[in-house]
Amino acid sequence: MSSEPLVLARGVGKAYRIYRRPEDRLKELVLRRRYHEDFWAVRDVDLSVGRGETVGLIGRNGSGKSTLLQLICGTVRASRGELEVRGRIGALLELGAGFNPEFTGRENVWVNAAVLGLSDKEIAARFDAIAGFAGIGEYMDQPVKHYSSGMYARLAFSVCAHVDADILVVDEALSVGDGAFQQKCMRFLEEFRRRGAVLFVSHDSGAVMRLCDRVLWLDRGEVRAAGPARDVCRQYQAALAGDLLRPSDEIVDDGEGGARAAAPELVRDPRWLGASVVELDEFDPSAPWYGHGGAVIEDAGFYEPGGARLRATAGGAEVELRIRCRAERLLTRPIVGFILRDRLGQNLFGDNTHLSYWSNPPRVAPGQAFTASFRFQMPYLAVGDYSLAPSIVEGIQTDHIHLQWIEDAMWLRAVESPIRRGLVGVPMKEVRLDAR
Amino acid sequence: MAVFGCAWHYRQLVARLTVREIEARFRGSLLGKVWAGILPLFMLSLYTFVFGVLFKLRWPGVEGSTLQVALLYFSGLILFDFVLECLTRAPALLAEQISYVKKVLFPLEILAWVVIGSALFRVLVGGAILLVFYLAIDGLPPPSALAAPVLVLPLALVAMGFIWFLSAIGVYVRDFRHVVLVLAPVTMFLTPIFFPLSTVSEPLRSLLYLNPLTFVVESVRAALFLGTWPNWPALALYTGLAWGFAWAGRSWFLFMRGEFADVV
Repeated sequence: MSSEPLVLARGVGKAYRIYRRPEDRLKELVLRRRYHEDFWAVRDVDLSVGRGETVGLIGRNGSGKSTLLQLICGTVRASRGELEVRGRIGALLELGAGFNPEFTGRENVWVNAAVLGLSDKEIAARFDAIAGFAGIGEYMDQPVKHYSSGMYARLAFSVCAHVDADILVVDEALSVGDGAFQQKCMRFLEEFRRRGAVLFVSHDSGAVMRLCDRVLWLDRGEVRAAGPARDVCRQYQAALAGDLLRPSDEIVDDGEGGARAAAPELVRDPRWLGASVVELDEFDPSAPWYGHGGAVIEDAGFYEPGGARLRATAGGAEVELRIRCRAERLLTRPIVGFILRDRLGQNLFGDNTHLSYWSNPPRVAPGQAFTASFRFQMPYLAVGDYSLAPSIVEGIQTDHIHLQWIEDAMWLRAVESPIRRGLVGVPMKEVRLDAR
Repeated sequence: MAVFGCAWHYRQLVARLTVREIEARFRGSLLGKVWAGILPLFMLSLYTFVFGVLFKLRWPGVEGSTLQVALLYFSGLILFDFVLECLTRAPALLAEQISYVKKVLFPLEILAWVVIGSALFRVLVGGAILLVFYLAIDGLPPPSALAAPVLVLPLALVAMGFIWFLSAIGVYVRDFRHVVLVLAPVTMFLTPIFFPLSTVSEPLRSLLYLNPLTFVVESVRAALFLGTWPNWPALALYTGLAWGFAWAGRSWFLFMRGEFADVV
């Protein structure tokens, strides 16, 4: 019995059907003609997880990790291959997934536990334990839409921990919540993995290496490597770092120095090559903003200098931050700026267009779009989450009004870093130890 | 029995969600659950006033006060309101529950039972108000009134079929909520709520029976006010057809279900 795998996938694949219009989907179903194109989110995955095993899934955003988890949880059906899952699955797919935002915490606990197959009597018997583990106090009777992301995660984890799951699927859920709760979760996972099967997805290779026995590396939906955790994580890091550094290396060597003679030379620390990975999230248009209006920030993102948008970068790489705005009225002295903060809200660095344009301020007509670009060398950030706050003001640096200021417009995650102490690393030009 | 499917398995969950749904409707309002009674009472007084006092309409073959005639309307309106409630909720049912569709393995088909349950609660409240007025005006109803709750059940089966059918389609196209809104007043006047079917001349009368509400509304009214027991063979046939319709709706729902997560 115990030797039988709890999750067994053979050649599993999932194709999403891409339709140009939503009604095409219905037409195809009724008319039995092909209206779609296939997009393979996951392809030919073999996986077997037994009791007492912890398997990690790594890969960049969009590599198919989440789809594979959804397949295993059964919320998405495989288009190809065989998939067998034995036992009850506790899934922590995304923050608060499976919670109804209008329901209170208490109601969501009841519904989630009932969906997982617990009877009313069983839920009643465990409710206090669930509430105790989550430790959110009287928030239990508030609608979960009022919860912070930390409380969401605590409650979700707590439910999963108390439903006698055989398989636990954990997707990034541990990265929120305070340290004490994270430790509680880790202790629970350590204990659970002895009796059940765990599938663990994370960007944090450190956590994956610490927790997992084996790792599956997904790349564009396919398995690029599978095997012992340490080996696969190393390969993954090396590939990630290699991908990231190549383009900017070429730019340094391409001999166009004359055109950019004024720009400072890039300084890289050779000891840190490949040791830094900074993942870049999408611009979040729904992030809270402040200001008087008059201009809106439509997009902000990091680009290769003069090139394509980046989804990840590294300390030491040359990047271009572009902030795209649109004027809603005539702007006579617009200044666009940004500030980067760590997760405690400390300002790390920032800049704006004021000094470059003060003698000749641009005018922007109503409705016109304009983009500010800042090209700089990405600092070596310590591991952690960083938020970018872009802003657009009108006036001069000492006397201006805020037109729009977006808090947390975009998140940067330093997932690998050579920095062990301090907020940022300074690349050393030379390190010596002289003995006389 | 396939129509009941996993609803029995998840009966505790269905009951819990239904109670919650009913509570949620009044949560945060000052009067709270009193609203559940105010709405049907208001409906009753409105129709009494408009049809009885303003239009001075009488019910053919019934000698009674204005309020008595209004109770006749009211019995039909309760049933119409029940079906309308189910039909307006259905098209957006799954779109409102994205996290249940995409993120967890939720038994989506039970959502239809939750809708039916909370709609039946309205029937219950309306029925209670009807009974109170009935007792106050006419005294004890005839024994055949006992058939009225039984008659509601096959109508609920029809409504189930519609909910499954419409909620599955609603995932793909968003048009049906508008279709329901357009058809609602039409259906209201094509249901013998404000007139007895006997006043309708023949080719049309048979056509009106295509409306699943017609048979139930007529039979309930006859059972409550005329002391006539339902036509049992006809009821058996109706229930059979309703069962088949509900089964078809559920099959359609389950057939489409595999793709819901990809679409929503």
